[in-house]
Amino acid sequence: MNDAHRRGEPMLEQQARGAFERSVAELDAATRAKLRRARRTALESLEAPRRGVLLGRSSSWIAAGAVAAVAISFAWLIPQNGGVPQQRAVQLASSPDVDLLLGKDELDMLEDLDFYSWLDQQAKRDPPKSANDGIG
Amino acid sequence: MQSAALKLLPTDAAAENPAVEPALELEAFLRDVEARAYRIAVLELRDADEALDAVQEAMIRLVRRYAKRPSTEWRPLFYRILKNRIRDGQRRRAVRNRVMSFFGPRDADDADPVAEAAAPEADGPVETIARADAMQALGSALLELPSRQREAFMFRNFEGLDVAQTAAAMGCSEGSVKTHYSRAAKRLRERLGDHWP
Repeated sequence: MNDAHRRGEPMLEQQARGAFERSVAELDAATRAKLRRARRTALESLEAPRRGVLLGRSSSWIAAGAVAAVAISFAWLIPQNGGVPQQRAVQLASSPDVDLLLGKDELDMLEDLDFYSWLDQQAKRDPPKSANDGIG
Repeated sequence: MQSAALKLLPTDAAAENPAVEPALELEAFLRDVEARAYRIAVLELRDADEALDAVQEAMIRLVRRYAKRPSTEWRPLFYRILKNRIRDGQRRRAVRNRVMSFFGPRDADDADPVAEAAAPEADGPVETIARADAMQALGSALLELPSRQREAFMFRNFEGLDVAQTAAAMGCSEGSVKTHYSRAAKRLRERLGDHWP
């Protein structure tokens, strides 16, 4: 948000930001120490060996499949008040809860695809100065 | 306006090893963003530990995947990642609540992370209480907003992302960002009134 936008900003938004910034400034020492540790842990990732991309993706899909298999198996074991167990398994597999459990990989992939799409739009708006500015 | 001072003076080590300077720049960026990101995560997740986890996960993912991207891209990307981690946390809580409701009564009132914030020492008791109440009222009002409006407002107003950056962080069009933001501001105005804080 640039200064020109803020100059004409309504009072409530200025006050909201002020309240937020005060809450940030007033963070206690213990929380700040935890954030420092989190930052250092993250930066250690620069040096830590990474899993191969293919292995990492495969592991995620395997884990997602395992979760789905467990969920469906669990549905078979639960005594049913009514309905055929197969119907219950199908219902469970398509239920929002299973979607929630499997949702992380979808978010991971969408996170990358959508961001690369945004980067592409930015590149069209501001052409790269060198040939090596592309993604990949 | 958030600090744009992400570039540091090169040290001897940086001059000798080109890989060191990006790491320093990345560290400076994370140091600049971590406290605000934590506060935003607390407002969304209403749990200090979950918020800390979300911020750390976002940091790790940014460093592992996007450290080599231009530094101008780090901020929207970081908040995109953080938003996804927050959504994960909210979904886990929804599933957990469903399971808990099946087995027994739900927990009592969730802890209010805003109320847990340390009180400032410089002000007197009246000012301290007033400021804590103001933030608590704002936090409550924000939680009443639909998630997309809340995201747009916090990214634009609290973090200072411009419209394009907010669109990237939210995964939506710039027009949607403007719509979400204006609706959020309108609802907050209605909720908090003319005399807040």
